[in-house]
Amino acid sequence: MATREAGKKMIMLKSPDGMEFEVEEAVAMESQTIRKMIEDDCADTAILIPNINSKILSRVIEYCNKHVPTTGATGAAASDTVAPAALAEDLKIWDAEFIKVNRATRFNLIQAASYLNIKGLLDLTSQTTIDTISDNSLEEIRSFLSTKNDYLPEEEQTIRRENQWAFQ
Amino acid sequence: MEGDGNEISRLPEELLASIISLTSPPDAGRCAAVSRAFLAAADSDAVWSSFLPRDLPRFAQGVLRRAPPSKKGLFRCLSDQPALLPGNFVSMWLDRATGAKCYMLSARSLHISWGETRQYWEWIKLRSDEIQANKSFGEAAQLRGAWWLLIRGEIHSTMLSPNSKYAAYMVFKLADVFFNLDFPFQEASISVGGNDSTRQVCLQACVEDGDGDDGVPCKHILRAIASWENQQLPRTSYHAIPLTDDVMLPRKRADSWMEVELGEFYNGQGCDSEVSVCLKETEGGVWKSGLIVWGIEIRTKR
Repeated sequence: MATREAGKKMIMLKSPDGMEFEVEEAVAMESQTIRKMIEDDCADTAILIPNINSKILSRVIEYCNKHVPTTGATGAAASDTVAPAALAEDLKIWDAEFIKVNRATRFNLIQAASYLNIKGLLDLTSQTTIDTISDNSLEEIRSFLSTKNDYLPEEEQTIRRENQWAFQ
Repeated sequence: MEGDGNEISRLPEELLASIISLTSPPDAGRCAAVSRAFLAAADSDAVWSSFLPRDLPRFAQGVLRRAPPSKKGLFRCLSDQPALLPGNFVSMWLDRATGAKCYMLSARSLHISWGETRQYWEWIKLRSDEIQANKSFGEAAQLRGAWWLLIRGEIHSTMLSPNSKYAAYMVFKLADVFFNLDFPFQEASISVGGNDSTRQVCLQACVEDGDGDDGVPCKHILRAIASWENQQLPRTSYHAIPLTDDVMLPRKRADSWMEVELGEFYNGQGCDSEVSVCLKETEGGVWKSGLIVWGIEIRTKR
């Protein structure tokens, strides 16, 4: 149910496993997908978020809560006292802690960030994968991303040969 | 069963593709060999469109006669060998590691002082196997002899890739007979939108990677070769010329030409100015001979 607390509009987000999360509209609108629903008036009182279970959705909301721009009554006071650089530094440290999750959770977060269109979260969750791909050998990439090599040996040889320039 | 929730392959192809497009062309090339799911994403046009420059130049007729079937094919084609631009005086290729645009300005496209006066410069045809090997220009300018040596090339910064560090190189050889290209040192300069940087280079010299453990590069000045008793050869011993670190020396290239870095510059976002590269030695008053200029390369530098 959408309610009003201290002049802030609240939105209810529902996960497919039946959990409900009441969040400030501004926080929910960190997601461009939800923003569009709200702006198009598709969001009535509650929004069902398909494909994202409650465990992942609660982490996403946690991220959005932290990253929502600090404007308005309480936010203004905060940014008066804390320098923007310090805030950014604080966020970076918080992000680094936030992303210390196991691989399965990370991939679920990538999917959630993509579906909900939250660029900051997608960049953050993808970065480890990007680093893995950039810095490691084929065998290490497979092992770190626990991806099974489903090629036949001769198929893999062909693909490697075709991409020989990338292995030099 | 593999569905233990850890599989990155579970990610939709578009999402995996968008992650791969944030890596680099060689990374994406390697990704293709990880697994079938990776292959689909890593070879997708979405990934390779992001590596290709948004504004490729127009090419000379027949250069891309058979259009590559995919964006990856186009990238490979343009990074494997240079493609000539209309007029056949400039060629372009893509840096394999970054996809940044690199160019070679042929000797014909350069401004060479007295270049059309046969007394000073002559135009020589390269052997066909040399052209074939390099897929590039068939002509070079050979300095017969001159007091006044001045070569300048220009390119507009909008032809280059933004946010990239570039360096310009003179690509050349020394003829069977060459002299006085060591001292006085030549002056190389790069001017980008009015900002000039200048350095000294020595064409008649060579630097090779040291083979010792200390890795100190081995530098030496080449002794002039004259086919006759030339009174104008310097009497000073070449050992006496100091080769300090601020003098740029040529290196041998894989294609057997030499190259020397003339200067570097950063091409920022939205940079819109002429890049002018110049090599000259006009003040020493010595008669120089034996330089064969193939062109000036402008390529990314890491």
